[in-house]
Amino acid sequence: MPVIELVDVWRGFDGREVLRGLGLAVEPNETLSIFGGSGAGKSVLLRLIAGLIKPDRGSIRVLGEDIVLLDEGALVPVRRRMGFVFQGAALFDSLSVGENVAYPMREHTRWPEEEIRARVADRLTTVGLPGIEAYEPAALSGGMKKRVGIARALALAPEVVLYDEPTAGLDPANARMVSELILTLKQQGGRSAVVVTHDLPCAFMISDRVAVLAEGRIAAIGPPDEIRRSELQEVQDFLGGVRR
Amino acid sequence: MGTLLLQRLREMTSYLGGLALLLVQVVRNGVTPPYQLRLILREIDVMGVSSLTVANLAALFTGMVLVLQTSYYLGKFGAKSYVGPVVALSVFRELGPVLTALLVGGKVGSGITAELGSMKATEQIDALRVIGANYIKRLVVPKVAAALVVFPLLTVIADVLGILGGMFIALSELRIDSVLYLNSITQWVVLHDLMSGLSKTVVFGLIISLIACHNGLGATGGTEGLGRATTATVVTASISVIVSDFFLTKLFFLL
Repeated sequence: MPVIELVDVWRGFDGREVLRGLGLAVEPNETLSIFGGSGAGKSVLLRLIAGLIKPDRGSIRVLGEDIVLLDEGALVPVRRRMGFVFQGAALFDSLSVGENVAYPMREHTRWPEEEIRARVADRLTTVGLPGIEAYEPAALSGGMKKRVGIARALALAPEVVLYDEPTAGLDPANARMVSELILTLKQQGGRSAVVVTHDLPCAFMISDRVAVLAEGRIAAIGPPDEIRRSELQEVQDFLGGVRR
Repeated sequence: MGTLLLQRLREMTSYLGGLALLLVQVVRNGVTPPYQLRLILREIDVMGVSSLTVANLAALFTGMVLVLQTSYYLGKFGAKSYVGPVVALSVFRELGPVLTALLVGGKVGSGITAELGSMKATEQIDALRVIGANYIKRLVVPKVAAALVVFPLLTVIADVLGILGGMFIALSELRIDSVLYLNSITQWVVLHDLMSGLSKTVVFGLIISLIACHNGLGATGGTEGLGRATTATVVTASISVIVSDFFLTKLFFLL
């Protein structure tokens, strides 16, 4: 049974249909990358899966729950099992790095403070940033912020992690570091991931399957090698830039 | 012309509807546990302490100028000794609450809108939502609750300073004895005068904080949009204070 399933999802903004009858399924333990041009609706798709916006029509099931009709309160149990990595990291700038990573734990658990501190240290070590609990987010580089964002998303060991452009705005070295981190997390197993990205090398490196979003629908979906060989015009348009 | 008017009317109705919905959410989240006392105290500290200088200076000089203005005309009727009650009534019933609300409201309101608007622009509010945290309870309720406490407190201090400022000018410029000045106030001014002013400030605090939070959460269009939202908060909150002041005054005269 898919952990995420979208059926005939439509979503428009200001009279313009961004998603037009989109269908998609993400299997357990699968990492699926979605790429498409600017304005194709990649981030909209991710926000729909997280319940941050509602579709105009269609069904969205996440971890077995139909989330379309759920209000903010009813979404909490689903979100508790989900992590979201924002494009700009979205760290709370009034809190330290440690407090940011601890936030979901303090919100949803009654773990003692020592256990929370230990888990925060563990998550920061996982993303390659041990010992920076006391830092302010403003003192971090773009790459470090993204990795702290990933640590916060992993705080409660979620079953699904959603990544919104994880390598956007990073220099090639940092982009590769973040891609390798996502790959390492995937190899650890036990969770599914949806990665929205412009970065084709990243998508091919980390994904079990890659989906191409064009004209409001999934134009192609399959393993990275299959997508590379696809002759769909939309796919070739995207791949042309990489091959050149 | 008619279409434009209709569109403006629709926008205003939608805005007022948004404010009403936010108020309902604030009340619902404010009365249900867990109560965010630590966050409310932090907001009281941020709003109140940082606004003391503005509110106090304005009140002190308002009291002083009121004595100068009123004593000139009261003197013509040989009623200069009534300058104390005139100043006290003006400060307690109107100037203390309204000036404090306008000055502190502009400062606090624009700060709230800027804070929430930038949190929205940097997806921090969405981050709270996907974590499963109730952002109304965490961000909005403490600000509204703090405003309900801070505005009356600042007004009490402003009232006292307004009276003292007036007393200083009455003594130094008009040679009115301070005891006479204070006695005349206690003779003519009743507790209801003070309380009607303080009751207004609770409403002003609610209006200002709600408008500020609503504009911040609804800010769109990046930094430019945030600037527009902040300006809109100052303008809307100020006009709302002045308009609601009229209706509250009418109401208190009926009570």
